[in-house]
Amino acid sequence: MITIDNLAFNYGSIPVLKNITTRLEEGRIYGLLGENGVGKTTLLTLLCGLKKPLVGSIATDGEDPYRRLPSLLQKQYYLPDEVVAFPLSAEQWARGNGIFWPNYSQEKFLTILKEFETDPEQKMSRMSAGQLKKTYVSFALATGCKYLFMDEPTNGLDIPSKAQFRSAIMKHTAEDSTIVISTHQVRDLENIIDPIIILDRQDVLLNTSLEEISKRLFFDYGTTLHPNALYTEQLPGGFIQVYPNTTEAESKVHVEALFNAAHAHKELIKSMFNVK
Amino acid sequence: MNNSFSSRRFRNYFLFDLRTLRGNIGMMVLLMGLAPIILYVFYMLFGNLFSGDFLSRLLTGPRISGPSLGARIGVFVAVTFIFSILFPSRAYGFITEKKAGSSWLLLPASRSEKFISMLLCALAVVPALFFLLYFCSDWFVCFFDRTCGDSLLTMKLNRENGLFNFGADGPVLVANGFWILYVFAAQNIAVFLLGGLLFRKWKVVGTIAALFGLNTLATVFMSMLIENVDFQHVGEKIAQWACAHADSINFWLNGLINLKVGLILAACGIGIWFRLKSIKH
Repeated sequence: MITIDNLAFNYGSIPVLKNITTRLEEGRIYGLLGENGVGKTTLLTLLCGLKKPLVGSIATDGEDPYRRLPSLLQKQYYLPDEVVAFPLSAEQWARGNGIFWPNYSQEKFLTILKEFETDPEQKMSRMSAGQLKKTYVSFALATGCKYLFMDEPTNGLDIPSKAQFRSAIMKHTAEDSTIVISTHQVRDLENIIDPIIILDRQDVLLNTSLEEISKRLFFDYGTTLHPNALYTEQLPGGFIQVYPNTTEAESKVHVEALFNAAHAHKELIKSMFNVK
Repeated sequence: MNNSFSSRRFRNYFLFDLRTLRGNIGMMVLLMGLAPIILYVFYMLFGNLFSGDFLSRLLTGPRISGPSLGARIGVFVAVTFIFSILFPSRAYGFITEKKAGSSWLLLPASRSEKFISMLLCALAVVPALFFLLYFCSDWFVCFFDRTCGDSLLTMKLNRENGLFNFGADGPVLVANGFWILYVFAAQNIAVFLLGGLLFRKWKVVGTIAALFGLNTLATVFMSMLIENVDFQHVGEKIAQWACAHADSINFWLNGLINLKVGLILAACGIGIWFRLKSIKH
């Protein structure tokens, strides 16, 4: 479990994250959402130990990630938005790097890469951005890490690859893994992410499961406008509207509409989900 | 789990480090190690070209002698110096880059394993490979063209003092001299390795500028010291000490040089350790 306590981080004099307190439970795929520049990547880099918190603390299974101890590094993998294209074949690179993760399986790497329809013998420096991303995603999943931090993993992936990515995440991660995926492409991932974390300027607007969201908010895909809607967007053949769920009716969470509703009514959403 | 040092993890990391180095500086080591052959080819080509009658020499073969041992020692010192300041930042400078550095920092090996491997590679493995390649290619040149004289590899281990012995046989590299050459190269490597880890861009130029700044400060400090020192008294003391230790003066001088280099290596080692500890992306 990852415990974030009163976390704050600045870039020079510019505050990015302020007073963030939350917990990331095991066996969940967290979707980390937020506008540009709210600190999603910063939070991920803090979680994996690439940065040191200015104030507060992060504890992953009780260990401070910034100490970068092998015992914790072996349990986590960070996939950044931009990755290095080494002048090696994907297979060679993965074999050379994989030895550091005790649960790494080269067979699994090759299987996932095959699912992504990428040639493991191809040199990484000659791959397209999408192929390179698929190689890294395959490696990340093959490490068998308990904690996976992925920054915009679907950027650069074509339409079939996005579906393959969702399938690979569901198929190749352990039951007790904690996966944090930062993304702007919510539609690519809305079927797999649960819970959802929405970061606002320096703050967490929401960190709640889809079940809890659908208990408190109703996502109306109908054709009639609701007077109390927190957010309304016209879709082909109707609307998507978000309003407080007073009747405990069931609905499918529309992540993009949720994000926009949360941004339009920050305080209401925070109080609704008891975010401190 | 041992989070400080595990021999199995260190072995894995050391081999990984060597593979990374092959990609980063393999070609550089090869080119600089083969410098005697490359320089010999250029020397003979231009030597024959500019000594006239080039076309007839193409048919009859070169008539000028190959580069002498003295000239080759000079080139060896220069190439070693250039190599020692260029390769550290090429080998490990990527650590300060966001993409490659992040993945390196998060590689599951301890800081001490990464640090020891880095020093071992930078101060022993890479210089050893470079020197081996350089001496072998120099030997090949001398074997191919007898007019070059003795190869660097013979070194004439005559235990003379100083770097070179300008005796009757011409300049020869002596055993002591090679050690001193190595420790100066190691000193450069350590300083430029630290510079490569401290500066995100302009790593070599930045290190040279920083050294220039430090030397300026040291000069100011020395000037202040000189102002307040009785030179006649100090000179007499040194002369007395030198006379008393005349038999072992070489031992003391070498010891002093080794101590100075040791201190620089220790200071750079501490700097590198703390830089690795504090680096963020």
